[in-house]
Amino acid sequence: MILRVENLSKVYKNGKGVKDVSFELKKGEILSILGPNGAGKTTTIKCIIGLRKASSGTITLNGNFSYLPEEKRLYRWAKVSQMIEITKGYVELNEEIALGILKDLKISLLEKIANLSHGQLTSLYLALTLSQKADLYVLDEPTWGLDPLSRSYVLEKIKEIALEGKSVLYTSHIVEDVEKTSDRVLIMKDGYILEDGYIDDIKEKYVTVRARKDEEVAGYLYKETSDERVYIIEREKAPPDHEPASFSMIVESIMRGDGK
Amino acid sequence: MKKEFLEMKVRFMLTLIVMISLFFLVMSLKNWGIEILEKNQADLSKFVGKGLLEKLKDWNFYIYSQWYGKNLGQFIPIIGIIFAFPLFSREIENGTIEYLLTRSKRCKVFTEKIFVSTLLLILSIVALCLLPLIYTIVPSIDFNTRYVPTLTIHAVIGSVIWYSVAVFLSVIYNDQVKPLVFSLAILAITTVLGMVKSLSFFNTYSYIMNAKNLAVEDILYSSISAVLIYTSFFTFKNREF
Repeated sequence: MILRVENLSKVYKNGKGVKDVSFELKKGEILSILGPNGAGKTTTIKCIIGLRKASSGTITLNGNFSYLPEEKRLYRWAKVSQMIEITKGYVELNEEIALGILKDLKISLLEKIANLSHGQLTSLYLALTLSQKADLYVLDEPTWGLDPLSRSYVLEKIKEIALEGKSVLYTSHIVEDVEKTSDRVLIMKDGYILEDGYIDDIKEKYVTVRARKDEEVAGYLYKETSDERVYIIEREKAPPDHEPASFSMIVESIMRGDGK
Repeated sequence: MKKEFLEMKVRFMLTLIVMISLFFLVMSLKNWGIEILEKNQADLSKFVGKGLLEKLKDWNFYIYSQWYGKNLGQFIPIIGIIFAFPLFSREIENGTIEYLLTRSKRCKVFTEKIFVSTLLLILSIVALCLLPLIYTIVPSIDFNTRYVPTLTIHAVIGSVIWYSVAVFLSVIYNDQVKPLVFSLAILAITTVLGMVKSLSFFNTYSYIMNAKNLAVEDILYSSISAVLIYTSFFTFKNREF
């Protein structure tokens, strides 16, 4: 076990935050946190890495971590090569890996940070984060703003990390990315964990049910047409005429959170 | 540490260039200034004593009054503030604080920033205080360096106290404008308050420009700086980002 979060609560002055969040992350596992904006994903991560203080609960981290923040901001006055040198001054960095990622993502070492596009900046930040020697990689929206090719490349790199026995905790808005790479997923909304499980188990757990508009169904509303409603409900509570549900349908319905 | 040097480099160099240029400008304007004052001697006598003009002709008086007493002296607190106000607030405003704090311990981040900026601040203040010493090698100028060590100590302590004020404000605010504006506002307010005799210790200018040995003030201002830096460290250590 690399990370254990027990009953974590972080409440801000406006009453928002995360409430009673508990989960574990094993060695070599990729755990994704999915949720709409304001669900508490970033707050959870920031409490884990110490940028925010938990109101209550305990966090046990067995090892060191490497962090990619949601907002990828680096020193605008520096060049890419200088940024590598600066990072080497703080952490143990595998320069070969960093240079390899930069080469693959076509980022010039001589380019000034101020001149990089959002996607290029994310790529550079990823190169610095993924090449850092760590036991846990905490990545907040690692593929946001990347083109499809770079996105696939980064997802492959994340999988490689896990194959080397390192753990990955990452947040994303892109359900397809999560399904491709993660072992386990946490679905959060309004500061609470609504679902925690292995992706295959979650897909097995839920099915699709079509119901007339006047029928009451205890499930998550997925969509509504002129004459029927489509719900995602737990298999054991579903009538026999149910249909399979895709992972994105399940996530979307739970995140919308209507009608459970 | 290297990053901190790179970030401070421009501020350090610019401060030195501007202040050294000002020094040579002030020195080169000596004769011209005296000439103008001589032409307006009648009007001048209404405002200042008769001996001022004669005193200004003396290089010793001119250097001490116009460099230590006016130009450098007035800039000392401002140089301290310039070196400190962006230290933390720029990292917070630009979002790079997350990069830093997740790659280094807070204690180390704080220590490195304070060490590098204080070192460069003291270096620049000492260099600017010792600048008039170059006139000791000019045969035609008789410059007595008797007061230079005391004025240098006062300048260093005076700059560090305003540096410490700006460091504290830099830690608590999320943008760079507030630490700068509030530091300058506090400087203005304390200077005005210091004009009241019983509150004279508030006026750091009278300390910085004073050539006498002021051990009590040395200890008082150094202690205030130490308390401010420690408070800044404690605030930074416990702050959320």
